[in-house]
Amino acid sequence: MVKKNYRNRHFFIVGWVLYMILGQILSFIFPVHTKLVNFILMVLWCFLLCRYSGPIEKGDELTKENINKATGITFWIVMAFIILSAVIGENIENHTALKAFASDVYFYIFFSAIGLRSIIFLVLDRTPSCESEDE
Amino acid sequence: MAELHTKIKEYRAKFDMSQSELAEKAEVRRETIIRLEKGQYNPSLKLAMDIAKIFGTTVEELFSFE
Repeated sequence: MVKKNYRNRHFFIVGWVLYMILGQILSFIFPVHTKLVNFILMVLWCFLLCRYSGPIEKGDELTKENINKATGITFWIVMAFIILSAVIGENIENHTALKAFASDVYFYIFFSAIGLRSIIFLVLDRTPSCESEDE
Repeated sequence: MAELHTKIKEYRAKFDMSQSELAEKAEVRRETIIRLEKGQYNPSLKLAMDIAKIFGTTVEELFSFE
């Protein structure tokens, strides 16, 4: 069986993160239409499974290098975001408004960091099709 | 700063080998071979030696810094 490109793993992670974040946001925006929201998300999930799952080739040293770079960049972006949020939270007049969605912020930061790491990896690892001779 | 130059492309043509075939033999991804051919990636000593071994040549012949 032909193994899929390693990049598919990170496309899948990005899709999964979108699935989780969109699920939260959409159920928050449309609390009445939860069945419809769940149906749309299930379709997205099925698409992800069909398109990106299956046997995937192993990573190599370039993969490790790029994933390490992506992890480092993500770390500093998340740190900057947390510090900025803390500064804004300290200076904002209505503190209770921020406290109300504090737990959601952790959820979004966690999944955004996972997704961002994969997106940065995909950017660092991209190879223009014109450079490939096999296709 | 010295740039990495490789003769992988020439050797591939000589051995009539595609990027995918070389990647499979060297146990790396095709993207890695593309980057190596473009001189955009400095391989580890192990990978350099593996590729040189596949082509039956030396690392010095295959890779150079100019």
